[in-house]
Amino acid sequence: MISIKNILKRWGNLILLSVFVVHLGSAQKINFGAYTTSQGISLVTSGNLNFNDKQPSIGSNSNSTVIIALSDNVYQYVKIVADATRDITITVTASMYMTIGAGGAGKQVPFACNFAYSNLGIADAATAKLSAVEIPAGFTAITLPMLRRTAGVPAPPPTPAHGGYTAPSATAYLFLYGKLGPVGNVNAGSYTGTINVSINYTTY
Amino acid sequence: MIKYLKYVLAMGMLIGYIADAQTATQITAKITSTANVIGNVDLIVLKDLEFVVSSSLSPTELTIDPQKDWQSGQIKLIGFPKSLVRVTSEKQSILLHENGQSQLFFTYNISGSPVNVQGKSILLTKTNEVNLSDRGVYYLWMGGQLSGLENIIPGNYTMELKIDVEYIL
Repeated sequence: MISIKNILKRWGNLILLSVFVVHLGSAQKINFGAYTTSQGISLVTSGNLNFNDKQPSIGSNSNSTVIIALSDNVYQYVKIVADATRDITITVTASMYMTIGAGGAGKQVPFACNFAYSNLGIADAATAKLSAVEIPAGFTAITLPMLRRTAGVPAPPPTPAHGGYTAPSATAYLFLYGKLGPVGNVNAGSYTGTINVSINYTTY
Repeated sequence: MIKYLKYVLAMGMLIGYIADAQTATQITAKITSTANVIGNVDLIVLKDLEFVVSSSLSPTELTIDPQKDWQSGQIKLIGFPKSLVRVTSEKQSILLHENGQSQLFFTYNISGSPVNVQGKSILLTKTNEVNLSDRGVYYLWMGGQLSGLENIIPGNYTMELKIDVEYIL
């Protein structure tokens, strides 16, 4: 009769060895345990990226291209609050077209999303934008420290989590802008696209 | 006893491994990009321009003020709210008698307003840039001066007024 007890009796040593070997595979790093569970990442988004804010009238068949630059003040941003001592990885993916419904011929306009970041711990978005670092087109993921060191020697290792201790948090900004067009012979109407931003603490 | 302890140890390692994997927390945000693409501006004729000339009065010239006279023609523009459009019109036109034997000369005056109140309209020049209202409409009133009435032949005279309206992109 096959039972868990029999399986453990027969293969127990092998299972134990396997688990041990798997665990050894990640034994090269120091695990600070509950860091990410005690200090989460919170995001606040500012709103929709509206190309009509840059150019109120976007005409069909105009072959025009509407560019929202970081300097245009119609950009949008994601405010990130997370553990100041850690690195984060940001991935930005956007649809290639803004569409009416499912898109297709006459119902889609090319769309390219660009982004920049500021990680100097500046709380205000408008001020943070002034020191933002623009990421060249084509990149979709970046890794950066939550709080960039501007001078001096590297800080000591972060304090391990322990009872009653709360790791310091920092604010970073991700700025989103981009390009719409060229607008070909497409239907008039409201076109939408989606920009997905995912952020996690970087693991090395 | 040792036999069970090693199972407990193994379970502990597994739980620790799973807990370690869960530290890779990921958080996501979704931002929508939007754009309203516009097509043509629609023009709807609400009222024709009407001149009633009595030959018994024998005027040489007749004027219709587009800002206040009821005889003014009226056109409604419909487009994208708050968009900027350019209104271009001919300045002069010729009215032809129905049998083609006589003609009158007409010089346009056009006034416009984002609200449908003729008294609030302002005179437009030959080329004018105006903003459609929050509801995407704009009203035009057509008037002008009719001349050449000295040798008028009774009958119907007709003409076409050509107005171009385009978005300023």
